[in-house]
Amino acid sequence: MIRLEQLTKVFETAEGSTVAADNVDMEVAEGQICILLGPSGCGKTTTLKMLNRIIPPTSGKVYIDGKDTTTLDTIELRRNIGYVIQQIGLFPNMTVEENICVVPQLLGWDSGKAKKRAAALVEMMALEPAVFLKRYPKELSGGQAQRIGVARALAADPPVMLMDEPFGAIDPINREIIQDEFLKMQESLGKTIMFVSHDIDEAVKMGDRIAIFRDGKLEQFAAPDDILAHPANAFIADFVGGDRALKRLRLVRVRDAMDGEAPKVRAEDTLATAASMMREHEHRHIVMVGPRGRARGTLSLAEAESGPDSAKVGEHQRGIVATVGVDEDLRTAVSTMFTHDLAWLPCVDGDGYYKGQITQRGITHLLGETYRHRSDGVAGESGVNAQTAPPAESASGTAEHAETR
Amino acid sequence: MRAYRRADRYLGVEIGSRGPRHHGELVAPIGVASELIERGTRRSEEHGVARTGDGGRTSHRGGEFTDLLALHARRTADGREVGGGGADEEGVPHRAELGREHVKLHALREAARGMGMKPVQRLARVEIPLAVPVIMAGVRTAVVMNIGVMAIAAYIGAGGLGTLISRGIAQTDSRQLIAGALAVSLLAIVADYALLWLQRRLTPEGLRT
Repeated sequence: MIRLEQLTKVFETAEGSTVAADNVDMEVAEGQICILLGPSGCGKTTTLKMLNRIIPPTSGKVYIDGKDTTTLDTIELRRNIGYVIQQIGLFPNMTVEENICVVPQLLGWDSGKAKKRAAALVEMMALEPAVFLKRYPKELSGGQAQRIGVARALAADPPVMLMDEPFGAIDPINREIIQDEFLKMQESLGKTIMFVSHDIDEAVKMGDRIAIFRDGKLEQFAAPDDILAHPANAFIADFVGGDRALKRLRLVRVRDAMDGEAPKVRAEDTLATAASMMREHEHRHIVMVGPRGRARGTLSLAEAESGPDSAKVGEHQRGIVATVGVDEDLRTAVSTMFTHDLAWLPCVDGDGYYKGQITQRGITHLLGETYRHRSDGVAGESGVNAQTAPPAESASGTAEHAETR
Repeated sequence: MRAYRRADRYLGVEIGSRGPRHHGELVAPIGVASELIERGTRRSEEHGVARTGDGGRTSHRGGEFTDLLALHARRTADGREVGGGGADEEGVPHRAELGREHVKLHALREAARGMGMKPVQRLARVEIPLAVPVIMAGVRTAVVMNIGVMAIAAYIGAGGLGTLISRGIAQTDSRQLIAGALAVSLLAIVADYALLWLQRRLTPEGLRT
């Protein structure tokens, strides 16, 4: 657990003093990824670096696992915090193995144990230990180097990690891959992570919580969905972008948006049964499943009503055009719908078993729900065109989300 | 002593301000030395920024070395906090104006600090190994220059290969002159190659090209 209390940094420069972090208060629960987000010069990196005292705070306190870090030895503190920087900073005079073993060595591990750990970490990063352990940083590609950078930070298994735009220097394709790998790893590692980013998409994807900074002040600290749905003020609305409602598609899994109760028919059922089931559930389509429950075909309400009542579904069904996995995000679902010009999709699990259906109307309804709910409660925030909404109104509408001071 | 006084006068006020005037004789050499070091460092820092400003000549070895010197100089000047955050604290805008090479060194230092290395550990494990090629390049230059210059030592009776050259000039004997010149050149070249070999041996494998 990380807790910042009134954390402040004032830089004295020749032109006068600059407040880089202004009474930042926040708390990150154990095992969560907290993204520090904002335009450059907003104080997010300064805040991060005050955690391991690379930058000494002017005032305020940092608690890690309830312990005030000012009472700890700086060197000791840093050895127990994983640190990844944007430029990666692998030592070019050391092999991958030596780089990873730096902190374990500093902590006095025996070298056999440290080497075993290095091999395990390289493997965890989806790289072949036999190939990579003896390589030098100059022999690695950007993506590989970054993976090793993360491995090095994980070497001594620190409970807390600080990451300063760790994936910033990698090309977009590799960045996506590394982000996915990292999230998968985090699921089992459960580290408490502070992560600096200036990329809202990355923040939404990686973060359990997002802290948005401006001019050293923490403007909003909330879950990604909350920030996208209810930006605390015009600056944040602007920063997260006019398409923020679309960005939320990434945050919701198909499983949570689909109609799991959707009816299904078998090949031997009659069209009349199928039509009545659809009418009962107010669906315009129904999925025909095979004997073991795999999605086999589809039937629309119009087709069911136009055919003879006693005809079998199996004779009138159309094949499956497209399906979507229940663990995919809504973005994928919508994209699949657009690709195939469909307004709905059957949802299947990893083995192809039918689980429910998802409709465009269902998705828009789900995304619109929080906006409607909000405007019922308080005035302001039209949600659709918040960018043009008067700032004062939208700020007051969501004041409880703001951490402004 | 007279020479020191002259140096004192030459460098003027700055040395005077460094210590009590009546200790002039003793203070002057120290003053000259520290002044020279300081000027050298200042120049190297200016050089570092100017060089990285135009960006193009980053492969110049000497430049790297002055960058390194500048880094150390900044640290000692900043004082208290280990490795003093001058550059760190000024953050992004400061970094942006520095060249890529500088940023790389900066990143390595920050990585080392962030991982919890003590200053001595950083020096021994990161900074010195990285500086080996540059230090050795300096040693080689100095050795070759000195071998050349030492030929003059013959004029004050110190002997050496210079005697061949000086005698050759005195007796207008070009055979002796050429023999001396060739011998000095050969010695310089051999010494340079020997040191090059040493440099390659000392350079950490990851830095070899």
